[in-house]
Amino acid sequence: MTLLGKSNPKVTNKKSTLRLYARWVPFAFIMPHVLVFLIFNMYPILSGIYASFTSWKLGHAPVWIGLENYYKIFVDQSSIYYYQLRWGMINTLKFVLFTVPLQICVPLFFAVILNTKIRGHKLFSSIIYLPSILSISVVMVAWKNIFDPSSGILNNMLGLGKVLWMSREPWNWIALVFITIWWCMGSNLIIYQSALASVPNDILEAASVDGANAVRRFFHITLPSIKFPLQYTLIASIVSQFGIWGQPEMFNDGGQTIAVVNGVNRESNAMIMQYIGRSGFNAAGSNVGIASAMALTVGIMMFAISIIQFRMIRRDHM
Amino acid sequence: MKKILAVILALTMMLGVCATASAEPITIDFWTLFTGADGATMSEIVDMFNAAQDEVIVNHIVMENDDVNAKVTMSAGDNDALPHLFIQHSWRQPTYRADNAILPISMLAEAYPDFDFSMENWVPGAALYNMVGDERWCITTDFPTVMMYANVELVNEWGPGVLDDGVLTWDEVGQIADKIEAEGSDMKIVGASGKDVLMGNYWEKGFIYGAGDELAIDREGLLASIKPWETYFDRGVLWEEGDDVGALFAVEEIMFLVDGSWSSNHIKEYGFEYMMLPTPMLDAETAYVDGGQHAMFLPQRTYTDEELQAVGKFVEFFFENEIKWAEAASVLAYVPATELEEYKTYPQYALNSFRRPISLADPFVHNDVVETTLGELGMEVLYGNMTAEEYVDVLIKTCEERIEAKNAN
Repeated sequence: MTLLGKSNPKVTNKKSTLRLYARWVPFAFIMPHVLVFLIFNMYPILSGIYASFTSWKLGHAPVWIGLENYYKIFVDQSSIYYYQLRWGMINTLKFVLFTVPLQICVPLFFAVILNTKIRGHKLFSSIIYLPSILSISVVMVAWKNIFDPSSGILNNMLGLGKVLWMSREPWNWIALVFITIWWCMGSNLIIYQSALASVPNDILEAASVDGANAVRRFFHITLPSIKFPLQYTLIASIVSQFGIWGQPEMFNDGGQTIAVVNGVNRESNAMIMQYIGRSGFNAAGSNVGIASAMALTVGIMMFAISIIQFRMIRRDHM
Repeated sequence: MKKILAVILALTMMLGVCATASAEPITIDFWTLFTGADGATMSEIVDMFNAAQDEVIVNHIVMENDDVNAKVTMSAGDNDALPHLFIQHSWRQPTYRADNAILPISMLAEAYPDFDFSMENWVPGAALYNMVGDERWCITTDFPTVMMYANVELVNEWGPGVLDDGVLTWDEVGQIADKIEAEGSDMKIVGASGKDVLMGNYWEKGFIYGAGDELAIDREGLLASIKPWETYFDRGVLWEEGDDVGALFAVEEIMFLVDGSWSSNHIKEYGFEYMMLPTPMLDAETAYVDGGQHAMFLPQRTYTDEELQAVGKFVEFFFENEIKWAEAASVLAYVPATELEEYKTYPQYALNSFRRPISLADPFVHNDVVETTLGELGMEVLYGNMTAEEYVDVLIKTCEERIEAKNAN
C-alpha cells in the first residue's frame, strides 16, 4: 500500500510471483525423483501388466490374447504353467517360512551379544556384516564349491561321506537356507545393534534392581523397546525372500525332480522367480506374456501381504 | 613446361592416394563360442591367416554360446551389431532361418568362386543341417562335439577285444560288468561328465525330432536308448550321483568318459593311452556319431563385395588349414583335411568312420526347444527321480508347450 492508500502494483506483482514460486518450487525439487520413478518403476509395471495379456516372444512384437495367459496359469490343468505357478509359490512360501525367522533371530542373537561390548565386538560386527557386501554370484560360486558332494570342503573335511547337498532333500534346503542367512544377516544386524543401543539403560538397571534376570529383562524390556525395527525388518525380509532367485538358480538350478504330474516335473526347490525367468527368457522360446502374468500374480500377493503387515504395525502403534 | 610438370605431379599424387586407399586392409569380425582351450586354437588359426596376407584382418571375438545366439537373433539386419561371420551349433540353423537371422552360403560362393563350397567336400552327416533342399545355409567345421574317451589299458584288462571295432555296445558293457562283479572290484565302466552330454546319445537313433514345424520325437526309440543307461546305473557299474567323473577318469577308476571334444586337452595330460569312440550303442552295425556340430554362418546383414570376398578368403584359409583345428581335438568335417596322413595320427580320426549319410529337405525348426529341454531334464532319469516313461512324457509335453508359444508369434 502506498501513503495515499492505493496498492503498489510492483509490490502486488512481487507477492503473486512469490506465491506462485512457493506453490510450484517444491514440485520442481521432487520432479527428478518423480520422473525417475515414472520411467524406471511405473513404466515397467504398466508394460508388465500389458505384457501379461499378450503372447510375446522376445525379438517379436507382442500379440494381444486377452485373458489366455491367466486361464493357463489358473485354470488349465493341461498346461505346464498351471503347475509351475503353484509349485513355485509353494517352494517360495516354504523358503520364506524357513528363512525369515532365522533372518530375524540369528542377527538379533549376535546383536545382543555384541551389545555387551565384548572384546573385539567391532571386529566381529564387521566380519558378520562382510558377506552382505558380496554379490550373489561370488557367494554362490564359493558355497557351491564348499557343498560339492565329491570335492567340496564340507564333505571331505568333516568326513560326512557323500552328502548330496545339491540334489537331495532335505540337504538342498538346509544348504540354501544356511547360505541365505549367512549372506543376508549383516544388514539386520546393523539395524538391531543400533536399536539395542537406544534402549534406555536406566530402565534395565531398575529392572535388575527389582530382581529381573537377564532373560526377563530381554523379553519384557528390550524386545518391546525394539519392536519397530523388528517389525520393519520382518516386512523387509519377507518381501526380499519372496523374490529369491539367485541362490537356487546358481546352486542347483531348482533341484531334482520329486514328482511328475500330468507330464510336468516338479522340482525340489525351484522358486516362482525361476519359473518366471525361464518362461520369459528361455533360449528355447521365450513367453514373456506368461512370465508377466505369473509375475503380476506374485506382485499382487506380496502387495496384499505388505498391506496386512503395515496395518498390523499401525494398530500396534495406535 | 611448368604446367605439364604440375599435371604430372598431381596425377602421381592421386595415384599414390588411390594406392594407399586400395592397400587399406578390410577388417571382418568373426564371432565364435569357443570359450575353452579350443578358443586358443581358433585364435592361432586367425593369427596365421592375418600374418599370411595383408588384405584382410580377421578380428576373432569369443563369447558365450547363449550370447552369440541371442545377439545374432536379436540384431538381425543391424550391421553395427553383427559380425561378418560367426560359428554356432548347426542344429540352430532351422531356427535361424525361421527367424530370418542368417543368409545362404550361396552368396559367399558367388562372391568367392576360388573355393569349392559344394557339399561333396564335407563328410557325410555334415549335410544334416547344412543343406535345406539344394540351398546350403551353414558350413560345418567339425562334428561331433561330444564323444566317449576310453582308457585303453583298463578296457583291455576288463574287456579284451571290446575296442577292436571302435564301438562299445551295451552288451559289451554287460560283459565287463559281469567280470567286475565276479572279481568284486570297485571299478566303474562309463561316466558322463555333464547333464547335457547325454544329449549326444539321444541322437544315436536319428532322433531328428521331426520335420518343419512338427515335433516327432521317436518315443520308443528314445526309451530304448535310455533303458540301458538306467539298467547299468542301477546295477552300480556306471558312475554314482555326485561323483566327479572327470576326476575318476583321471585317476583311472572309470574306464570310459562321455565328454566333449573340449576336454581332450586335459585328458592328454593324464598320461595314459586313450581312444575316442562313439557313446555306448545298442547295436554296433548302426553306430553313428551325431550330436553337436560347429558350423560357420553368415548373419543377416548387408555386405559389400569386398567384405564377402574377405570372408570367403578366410573361410578358404580355414578349411585348407583345418588340420590345425584338429589340435583342439576337433573331429574334422572337411574331407581333404580328413584324408591327410597327419590327421590319421590324431585320436579323433577314429570317429570318422561313423558318419550318418543324411541331409534333410525340411529340417525340424524347433531343435533348440528339444535340446534345451533335454539339457534341463539332464540326468533325472538315471538318478531315479523319474522313470524313463515319465522322462519322455515330460520332454514331449514341455517341448509342445514351448513350441506352441514360439508359434504364437
